Amino acid sequence: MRRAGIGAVWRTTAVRLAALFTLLFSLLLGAGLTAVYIGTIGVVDRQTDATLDAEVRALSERFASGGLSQLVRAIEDRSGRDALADNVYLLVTGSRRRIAGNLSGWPVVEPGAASPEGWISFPVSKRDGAEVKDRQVRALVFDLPQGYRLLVGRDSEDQLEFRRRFFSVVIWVALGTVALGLVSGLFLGRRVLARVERVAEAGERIAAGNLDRRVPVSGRGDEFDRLADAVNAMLDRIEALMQGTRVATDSISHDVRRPLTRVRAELELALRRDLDGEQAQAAMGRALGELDRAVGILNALLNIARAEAGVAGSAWADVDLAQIAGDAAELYQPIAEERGVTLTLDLATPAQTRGEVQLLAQAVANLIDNALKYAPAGTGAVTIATGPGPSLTVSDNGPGIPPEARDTVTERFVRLDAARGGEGSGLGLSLVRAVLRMHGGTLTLEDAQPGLRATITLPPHP
Amino acid sequence: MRLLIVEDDVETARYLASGLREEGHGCDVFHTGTEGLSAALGTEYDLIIIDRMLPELDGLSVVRTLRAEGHKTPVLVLSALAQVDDRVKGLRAGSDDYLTKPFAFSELLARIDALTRRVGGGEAGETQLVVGPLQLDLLTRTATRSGQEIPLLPREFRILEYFMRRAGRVVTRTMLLEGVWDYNFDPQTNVIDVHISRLRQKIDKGFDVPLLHTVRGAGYILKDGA
Repeated sequence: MRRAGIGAVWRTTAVRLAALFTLLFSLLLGAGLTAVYIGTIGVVDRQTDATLDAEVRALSERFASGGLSQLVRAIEDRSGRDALADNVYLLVTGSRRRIAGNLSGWPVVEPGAASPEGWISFPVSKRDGAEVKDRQVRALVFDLPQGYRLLVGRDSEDQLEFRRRFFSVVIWVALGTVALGLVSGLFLGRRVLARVERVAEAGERIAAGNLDRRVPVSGRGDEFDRLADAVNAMLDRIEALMQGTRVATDSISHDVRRPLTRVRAELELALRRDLDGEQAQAAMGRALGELDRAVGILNALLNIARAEAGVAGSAWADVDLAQIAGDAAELYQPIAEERGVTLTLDLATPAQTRGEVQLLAQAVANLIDNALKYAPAGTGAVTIATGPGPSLTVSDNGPGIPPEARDTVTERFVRLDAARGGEGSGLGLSLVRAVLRMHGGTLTLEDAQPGLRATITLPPHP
Repeated sequence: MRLLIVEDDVETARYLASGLREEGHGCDVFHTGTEGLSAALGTEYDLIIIDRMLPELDGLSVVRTLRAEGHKTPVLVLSALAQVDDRVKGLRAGSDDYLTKPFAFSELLARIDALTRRVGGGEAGETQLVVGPLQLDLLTRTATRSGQEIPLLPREFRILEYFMRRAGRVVTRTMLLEGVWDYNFDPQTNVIDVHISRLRQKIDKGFDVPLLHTVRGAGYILKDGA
């Protein structure tokens, strides 16, 4: 088995899907957390700012109505002397001298840190018992008339702390999501790779010529089992075709070589012996006959191959099986009489379908030809009947075909010589089957008690 | 007759030409489609025999071009392809007959004969076919020999009609299958022979001179014994 390296894992669909889903999920999570942030911390921040803004407005109105003394009193009322108060106030003169408030001096703000509206942020050291804590304050600075400056602020350390925790949680969640997604994707990818690898491995072995290998099926009935089943079905078909080709090649060599051998012998003898005109004529006549046999076998094979590869083509037309059967029966009628076989027709049921007339006619002719060959001379009876489906049945009262041989009899060249001795290329039923397959129909062979009943069923006329 | 043979296989072409010359025909042989086409356009032939697979320009294209140019010379297409579809395509391209390789030379001769001679009794309104003592009434569907009525089955009537329209010429089994039964395949058993022997029983039995003869290795011929 090939090693499933990280490159190979990345190339698997499962891992790429896992990565994609991890990314999507992270984006969704990010959007959700942003909404939570805006809905909680954002709201609190805005409320703080609104409160500070209102406070500044109220104090500046107090200054406008009551002058500096009123403002100082108001500030001292609000801040008291408590250095630990959450609210921070400071009023300074133009030269930054403190007038009122609970802040000891003007805070040091880094240049540029103040917003144009006057928002600033600065640390304040607060004594809580024995402890001195640095706490962050958010404040609004407002310039009053006569150079006075007012600063109203609020301890924002708790908010900042909440924000810090929030972000650290966000980071951990994000890291966890990505890690989990990737790890599970990798794990999944490896599992998928392993199963695909088994299919590929089986395919490679089969390609190397080990045709009886099959892809393992887990039995879970999942997509991989379906894939394995499909591949296995294809392999079964390939194996059958290969087998068929092998049998056909053997049979061709055998069946075509036989007449060719006779031709060769006939001609060689004719050359060696000093034959007179009449003898030479006879020898050449026999040679020609054998050649015709060989060509006949090749043509039959070609027809089967063509029909097997065939699809609905330009030569398709509406056809009536009853009419085809009637014509074919009429062609064989004299032969039947000569052999003492009664030919009975029951073609009252119309059997309309679509197909290639010549091929269907040949298939029907082959069935009749077969039935006449195997029906006992003198007492034979062959019945040709159309039925619903549409279907066509040709039955004889000959020796029939044993049930175990019915499947193989339609394979090329299979001739049940022992049971049904007769002359023929052994290709008749193969052609029938090939023609039917091409037309989407079926050939059924049954016991007619006695004899054989061959039924062809075709798709009804659309 | 003057025949044009277009066949890329030199051996087959030589065999065709020598066989046809023995039959008294003049033959021009070309080995490619373009040569064949220019020969066919430049010279008046009685018949063109053309292979389907040719270098440069295939046989069916040559036939299509000829027909498009208004040439009516009968064309017989030779081919190694034997599917019904191929046959249909060949005839659709404008050829007059289609013969599959390998073929019997007698079959080829019979086909050439059939293509170059007008089929007898083709004129409309004709109701009688006559070959020596044999008469066929196409209206009443009756056959008589020397005035004596011969009872015929419908199919036998059609076979006889086919022969009488080609009296004096060889008719092959394949031609009968195509012309009378409309079958383009060869039934494995010699069904045609049985049909002919029955027809022969009816028209020749009891008469001194046989009319329907077997031509060995080729087929049959209907001719007035005289």
